[in-house]
Amino acid sequence: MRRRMSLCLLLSGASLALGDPAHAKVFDPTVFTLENGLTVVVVENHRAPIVSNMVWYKVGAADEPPGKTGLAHLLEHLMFKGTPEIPAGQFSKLVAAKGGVDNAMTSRDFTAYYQRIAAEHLPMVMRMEADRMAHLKLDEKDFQSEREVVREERRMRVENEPAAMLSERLNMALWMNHPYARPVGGFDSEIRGLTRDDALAFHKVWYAPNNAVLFVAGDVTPQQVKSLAEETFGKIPRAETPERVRGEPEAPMADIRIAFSAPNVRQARWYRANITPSCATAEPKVGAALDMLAEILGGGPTSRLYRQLVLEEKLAVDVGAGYSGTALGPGSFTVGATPLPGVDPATLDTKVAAAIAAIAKDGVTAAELSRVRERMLAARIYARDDLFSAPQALAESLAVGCTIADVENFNDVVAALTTADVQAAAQRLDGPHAQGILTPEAAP
Amino acid sequence: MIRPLQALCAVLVLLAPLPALAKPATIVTSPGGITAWLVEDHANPMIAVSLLFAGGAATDPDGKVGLATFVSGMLDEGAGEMDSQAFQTRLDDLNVEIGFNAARDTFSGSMTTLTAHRDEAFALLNAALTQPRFDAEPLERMRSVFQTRLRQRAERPNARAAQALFGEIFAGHPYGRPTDGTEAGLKAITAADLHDFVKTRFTRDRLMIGVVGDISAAELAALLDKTFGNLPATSKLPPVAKVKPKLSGGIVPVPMAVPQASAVFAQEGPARSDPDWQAFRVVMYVLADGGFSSRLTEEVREKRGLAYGVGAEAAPLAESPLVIGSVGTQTAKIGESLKIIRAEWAKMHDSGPTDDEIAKAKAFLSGSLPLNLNSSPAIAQTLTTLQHFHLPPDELEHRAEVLAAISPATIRAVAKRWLTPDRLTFAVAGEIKKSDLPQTGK
Repeated sequence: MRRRMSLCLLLSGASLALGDPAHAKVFDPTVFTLENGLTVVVVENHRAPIVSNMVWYKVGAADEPPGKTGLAHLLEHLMFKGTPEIPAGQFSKLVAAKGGVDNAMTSRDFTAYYQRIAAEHLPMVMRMEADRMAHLKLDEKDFQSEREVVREERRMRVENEPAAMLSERLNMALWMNHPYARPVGGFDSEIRGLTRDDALAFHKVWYAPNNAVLFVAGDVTPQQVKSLAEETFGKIPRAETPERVRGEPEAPMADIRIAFSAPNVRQARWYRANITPSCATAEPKVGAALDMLAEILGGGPTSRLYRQLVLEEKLAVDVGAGYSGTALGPGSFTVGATPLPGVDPATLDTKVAAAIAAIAKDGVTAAELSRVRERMLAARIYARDDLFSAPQALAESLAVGCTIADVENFNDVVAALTTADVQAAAQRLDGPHAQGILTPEAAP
Repeated sequence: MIRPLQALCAVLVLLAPLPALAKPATIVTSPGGITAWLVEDHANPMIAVSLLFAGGAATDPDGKVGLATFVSGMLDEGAGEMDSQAFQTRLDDLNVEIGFNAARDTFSGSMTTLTAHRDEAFALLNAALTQPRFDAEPLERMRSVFQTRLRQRAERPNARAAQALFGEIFAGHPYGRPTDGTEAGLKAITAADLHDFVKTRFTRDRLMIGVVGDISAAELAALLDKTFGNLPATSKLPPVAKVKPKLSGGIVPVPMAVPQASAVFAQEGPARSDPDWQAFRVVMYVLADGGFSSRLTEEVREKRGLAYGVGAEAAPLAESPLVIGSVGTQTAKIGESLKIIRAEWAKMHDSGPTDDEIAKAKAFLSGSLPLNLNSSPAIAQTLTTLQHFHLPPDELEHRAEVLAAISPATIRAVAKRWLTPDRLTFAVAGEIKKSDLPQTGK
């Protein structure tokens, strides 16, 4: 049984490879900037008469003021609560009445809103997005009920899910003083204290055309998008936004261990995480090598860790690894495994650390390197097949302070990687890390 | 060049003057008599294949519950001359993706390949379907995987509530058993059981195929015989019995220590072939299946902040079509959510949707069709789903016309005919007290 190639790999910038490495672009976007500073990215795809319209704001949970975790995410919800033009609750209904779907998402570094709709309705949804960028209006009653919705969302996604609770606490232990330690959805105790004024102030400070990326993909030309953007977003004046500061995380002085158990846990889990460079803090080769290392270590049933821990030593049911390098601050490298019953999860930590140390010392084989490189060639073709999700990587890259080239040129970078680069990537992980262990409660 | 998304999105031609290429799937028949639906598209050098066999987990023998799911994990764990690692390594080297999935009524498969490796990819698919080895090592490894999955599902209140509800309303029928298997069932399954499943379920008379991408009809026809020609033509498999769900209108409690209670609820619904199907989809969109446009979201989430997610949709199970819904609310207030859901259900039964709601629902159900066809694998899957429900290749093209022709009076009559607020039956997982819950519907 196989896992599909992870979307994370695509979204973290790795999408492609060879052919003619020097010219093998992936999405071939058109990029321009309006006079008020709004960056616009257009990816043409005329296979279907539909478009995806997205606005990415360069603000996320890591930009929240102290004591106000959850504010960026709550504001994301409140953006559907009305403007003088569009009454509360009408935004999604107007989109749906034209056959479209819409939603939004918040991360540590960005907040993004999107609609997918027939191409003829692009002018309408661009008008609506521009309207709420400039004219958010909030009724106190709507604010109160939406804050409750956000608390229910946290209960559902985090508090009801032991694995999510562990991941939240592991993250806090790993990042310590750094803003990435904060859970994106916020702590319940702090969400409860957020006010309507907090939300309006956060909107006023951060939601400006010069702090956003408009991303349009589908059956449309760059020229059409340009004139529509000028008529809508182009009317919104530029505003001074604060500099986004991420700072240096305090490096762990020794291995950190978070162990957690809860009454409803039935199956143990184990994770480990390291802080690493990201696209914003290191040259592209560094991230590409970490991506490749993740594939070699934990990319499916033929990977090193699967063969060792699952097939040979029979310690785990499955194992995977991932690099997350699309970030304004540092990136992270994660390995996770599901221990078989009776296996002490700490054993997995020792084994994985040894496997990483082995690559740090001896490197990987040329055969491993070329196999993963080939996989990335296929991923590029598969990514081009996907109208909506894959090309978003371009906008995400810009929203976190990285570049279009980080995505488009990734194939060139991967093609040039050597076994020494992958060895250097492993050396970055061969030190103190954080591990998280979830176990069922012992029988009383 | 035939552009697949436009071909399937032709429905928009009826709504607006868009440059869509009106061309539904072609039905390709091989020299050996095997048919597949094809949307040819040479824009990208890749091919996506979707398979569907009628007959899924509901056909698992008693005592071997979980067999279909077990098979779905084992088909790429070694076939023919290749053991598990050899097979997996070959898939990796060719960048071919093969996957299988068992549902209650169906067993599905998917394969994605670059055009360059087309013939070998189809050969690997053939090997997986006709010569799986079921060696002892992967057998025990996958048994652990599925046992682990059972434990993980048992951690989730939504999964626990859904299983409790199905166990209650389908007690004694295969639909009442978990698709993922039971502890005892997974433990009892042997290699012989897996071989028997393959022999009796993977037959040509049960098979539906959808193909999208860089391949011509002639090329596909030849590959169909090579890939599926050596499957048995037919098999004797007892049919799954039709069943009436036992809907008490009450609430099944599932005690669990979680901060948010999770409720799953159901009533009977129309079959996909029922003449009321499209009208009923309009009713459900307005009541519970329309996201922010639905009454449940408006009343439970928007007005009262009682839930992040609430909704329900028609689930056309072959032997007992249902409507299934869910909601998650903090323990102390779950009763309030359930009361509102019941009240909205009754209101919709009594008065139906308004003309304005009907117009908006039709606009969404017609206009949103192309949005789901956003990748080759997604389109291939749509092609097998249409076959499964005995629908023609141009079904999507005519959807808007069909919806437009249904009068508001008919839709309100369908709401009255199908919605049964008194029989809406719930299972609630959480730390719930009887006093937190409303009285039964009766």
